[in-house]
Amino acid sequence: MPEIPRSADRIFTNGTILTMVDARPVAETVCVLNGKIAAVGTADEIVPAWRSDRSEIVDLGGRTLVPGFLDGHSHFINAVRLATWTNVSAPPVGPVRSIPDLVDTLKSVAAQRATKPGDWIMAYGYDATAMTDGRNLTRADLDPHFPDNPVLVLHVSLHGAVLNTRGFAQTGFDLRAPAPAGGFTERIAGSGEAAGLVMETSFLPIFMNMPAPSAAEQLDSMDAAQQLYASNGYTTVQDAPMEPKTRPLYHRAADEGRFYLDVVGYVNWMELAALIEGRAEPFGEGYRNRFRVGGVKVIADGSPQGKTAFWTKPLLTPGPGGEKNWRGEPNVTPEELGNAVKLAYERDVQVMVHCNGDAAIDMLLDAHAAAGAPAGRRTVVIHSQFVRPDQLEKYVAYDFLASFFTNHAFFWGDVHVENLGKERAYFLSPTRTASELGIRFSNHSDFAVTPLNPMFILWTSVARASRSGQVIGPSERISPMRGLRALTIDAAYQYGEERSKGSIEPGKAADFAILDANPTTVETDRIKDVRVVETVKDGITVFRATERP
Amino acid sequence: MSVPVVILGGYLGAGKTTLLNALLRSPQSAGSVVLLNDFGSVNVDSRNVAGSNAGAIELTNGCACCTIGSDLATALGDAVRRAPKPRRILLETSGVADPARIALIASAVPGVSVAAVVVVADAQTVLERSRDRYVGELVRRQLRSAGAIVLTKVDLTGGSAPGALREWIGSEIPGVAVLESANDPGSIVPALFELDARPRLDAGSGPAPDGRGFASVTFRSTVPVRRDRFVEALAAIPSDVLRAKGTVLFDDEPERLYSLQRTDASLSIVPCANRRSPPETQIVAIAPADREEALSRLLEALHQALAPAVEVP
Repeated sequence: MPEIPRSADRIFTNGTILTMVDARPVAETVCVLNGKIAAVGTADEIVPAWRSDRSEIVDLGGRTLVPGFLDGHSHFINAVRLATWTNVSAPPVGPVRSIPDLVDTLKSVAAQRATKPGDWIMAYGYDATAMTDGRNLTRADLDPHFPDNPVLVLHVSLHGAVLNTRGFAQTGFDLRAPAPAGGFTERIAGSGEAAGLVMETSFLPIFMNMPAPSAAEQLDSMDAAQQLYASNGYTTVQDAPMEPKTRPLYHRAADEGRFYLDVVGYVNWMELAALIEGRAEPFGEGYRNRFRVGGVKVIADGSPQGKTAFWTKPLLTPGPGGEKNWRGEPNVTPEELGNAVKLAYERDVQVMVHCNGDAAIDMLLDAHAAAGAPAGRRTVVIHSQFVRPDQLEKYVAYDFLASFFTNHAFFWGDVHVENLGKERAYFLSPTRTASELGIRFSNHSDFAVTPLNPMFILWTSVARASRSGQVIGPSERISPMRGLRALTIDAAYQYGEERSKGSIEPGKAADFAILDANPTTVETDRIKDVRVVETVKDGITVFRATERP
Repeated sequence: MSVPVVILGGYLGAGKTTLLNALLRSPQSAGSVVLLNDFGSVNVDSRNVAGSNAGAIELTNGCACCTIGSDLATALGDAVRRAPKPRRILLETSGVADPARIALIASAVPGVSVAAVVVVADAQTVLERSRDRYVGELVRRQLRSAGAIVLTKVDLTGGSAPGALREWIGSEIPGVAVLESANDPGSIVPALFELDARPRLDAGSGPAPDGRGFASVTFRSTVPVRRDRFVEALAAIPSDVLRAKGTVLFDDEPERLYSLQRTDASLSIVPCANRRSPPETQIVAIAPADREEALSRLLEALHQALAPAVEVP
């Protein structure tokens, strides 16, 4: 039989290719044809057989190529909304160490975007405790630099903000108004006037009057939002749950061909019955113009750092309102969760449930059992942060998947030890125990709760170091290779896309992230500094880092 | 003038929506805006729907139903800015919400004041729920945040709330006003509107600043009362009873239901306009919590007024 001439579109070679395939974990060359991986191997095996005049040779120059990352869990819509906002977080999340830094960052972004007088300047991530000034940002810091623009600098908690005088005026805020119950308005010393920072219920009237982007503006932000993910090496991204208005927005973006990454949305459980009855959403169908609805999401409890997660045993510290013996509370009733799970199973809809505390997880285990405990559903327990060992055994029996959140070890690990004690806090996102039990898990950013950076996520799963340097559960640390699986092939399994994505082998989508160093061989502390230099989706480069000066 | 908001809380299935629908049928609700988590849960009578647009259902009585969406404060802000300005906002919370927290948010929204926090509880199941491993604490927290508690479905618990339940509420939330309702809560609606006018119920978080709360009793009987003894009983109502309201069935005129209204200034007994009210005597009376014995005396007098039961052959 004559040999069919083979000609690759692109050949990535001369690098370290981490395939996530046990039979050949490392390769040197991968070639791409029609958006799919055509061959993987050494340069000697591949290049002569696949190279033609029309093949583009991409010299990796010793860099590392991994499967494009699949987002275990985040809120893509936040990237859409924040696309026009400025990141004023402190390191490692952003560049701002002081108030002068913050002002400079705002000024340079405003200049870069050619902000016109009267336009809002919005920023997020402000956290005085991570800055060096020892005081809060005030409107007096902002007013001289932004006389013609309203400015709003959102607090990292999302529960407050600092505004300039123009911003206060534009939102109709009375500078002399007393703070309502449950609110805080910082005052200028010796004057009754608001200084700048307003929190909680003092912030509510401002929050209500903040300009909301229109659907057209959000569609125009789709590209920037995808760039944010692509620049972090993601090729499949998630929004779970979609807000009721977001679902049609994504369908419209798909209609208009605005997606170049794969976007998977999960509907809010409250919409599930109506969407099924009205046949308004084609559950279970594949991507249409790179968008598909993956299933349903239920939020069963709150957050552990906010003390609104739902545990079976009380915290060591008082509740958010000073309550004693506080163990949080559910966010849905067991009846609602049970009905949503049952309905989804009946209609073959994948279920994702946000459960941070073990009591919320008990509710889900009960709901699954009440629905007949069907096998093979790939129900995802998003966060699973304070899962108990006995519950992990149930995950195995029920074919549950976990999507862990090891970034918490860094951002809130110290807080968790204080609230829960070492024993419970150290079992946070127990990746090692789950691995040993054979549970497949992804690991996520929960963006915008923590940064998208997958190398930071990988580092927190390998090091589990807190801000203070405490190792949050030394025995739950995993190897970098195991950590990478949670961002690639095991995340693909969570999406039911493991046959087409998540590893580098022939026939799969040519979705790649190219890294400037090999995260499985650099020193542990260097993992978080590994950079994504290029991202490839279906064989096409969708992001390329500009060289550092 | 700020717009008063009545918060309806309580666990899933307690009867919030039934109560809301009853409130909507009341003429006092005209011009209200209803805020809901989703339309799916409310059984708005289709005859009363005038039209719908942009996420709001307009009712013929001038009410509008809106969904809360992702943000309560914004929904409240949008509601007060509606034209014409709503006379009242009725806010139905989700089954897991803490009404005290909702009240805190509402009271921070400019142009809104919290008039009442009404927590609805199923008389048949609430005690059991309050001990549930998942939702027990939540249910107790909801009840503690109440300015008034409505015990529903008392037709399933022998016509009035079980003594153990009343006792438990009395010890758990001393001084809270408790109203009882059978399958149709319409009859307690007037009393509820009376209650929500009381500033002492503001914010609904714990006892009012002066330490006083309200107690209430419900007297119900399908056996008609004797007109003369009933009028005597009313005349002798202790002055501590602030309000008494309801329907009366007299033994000499059993085909006609009367409506009773007594405030500290006036007493009226007139033929009942609402033909849908069940043919029975049902009176809700309210007194300050520390004058609760006045309510017992009233109850006793009302029992004295009952006509002798007719033997059924």
